Amino acid sequence: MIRRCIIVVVLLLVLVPATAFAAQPQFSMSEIETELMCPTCQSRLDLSHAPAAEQIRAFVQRKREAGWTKQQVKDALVQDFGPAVLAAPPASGSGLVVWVVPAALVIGGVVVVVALTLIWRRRRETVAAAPAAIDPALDDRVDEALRALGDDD
Amino acid sequence: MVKRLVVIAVAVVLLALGIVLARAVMNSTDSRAFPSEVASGALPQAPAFDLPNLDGSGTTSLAALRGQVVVLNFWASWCDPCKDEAPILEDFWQTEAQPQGIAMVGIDTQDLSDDARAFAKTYGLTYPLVHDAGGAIGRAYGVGAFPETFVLDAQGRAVAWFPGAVTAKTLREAIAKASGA
Repeated sequence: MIRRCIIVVVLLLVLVPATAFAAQPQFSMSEIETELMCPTCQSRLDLSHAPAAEQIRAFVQRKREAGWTKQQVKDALVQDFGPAVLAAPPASGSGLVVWVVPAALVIGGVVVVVALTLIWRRRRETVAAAPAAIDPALDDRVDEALRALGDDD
Repeated sequence: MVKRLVVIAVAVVLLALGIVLARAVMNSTDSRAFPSEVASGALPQAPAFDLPNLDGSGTTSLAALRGQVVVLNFWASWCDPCKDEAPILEDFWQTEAQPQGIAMVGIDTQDLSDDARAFAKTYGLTYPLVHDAGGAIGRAYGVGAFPETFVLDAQGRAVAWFPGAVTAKTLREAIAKASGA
């Protein structure tokens, strides 16, 4: 009798936490709905009530209640609908372009602005340091005036 | 040194802008080009496919159906008009298409494969059904509404396109046209 009780207690200790954990939702519906797209209406899942969106919502709900992780749900959806079902494209393959191009634009833009600022600053310093050029005509008139003054003496 | 840096940065920015522009042009190409061509009577060649059967038993390719008139029906389990159309298609398959040697393929696209299998079971569909995982074939055919049906002649050219649910009468007429094309 005692032996049987021990077995039952051990089984309960092993099985109950495992099943409780398995059924525990790993993410919220509102969270994942912003990360998925309705495949037929090209809008985010949380903003769509198209039949395809409702089907995906029901699928996500079922899998969430079954304890799937967000990534598992997304992987399953990508398998049936393709990567377009994800609101943010994967940072690999052709989806990489969406991540790399804005970064390249920002970095390139910053480099251009910094470099142009350096060039303009250097040019201004060079101009400030250079001796002022004298108009040759004015120079001749000054020389003439000085000579005239010398003749007067 | 600084000038060289500017040139490189400008080149990077221009390249990035070029990529953005190229993607925008690619995305703006008419997604309904194929059905428009069919509707104009141009007899365009139907895009090839080799898709897994919905029941998991191998694949079905369009190439293997060459020499037969083919009815291609794009559907999804969440589509309400597809529910009305499914019994019509099944009846047409059993009473007319199959006895006359006309091929029929139901292409499940933009759909969950488990839900699609449940749909096929509910409506007792016995004609070949394939699953367009990722939706590439649906896009190639310009499918934008559900259901949509194409009828191809024996050379694989699309002779008719039906947006929305078909009837046995419209299928019969299109098959007659495909047989004489």
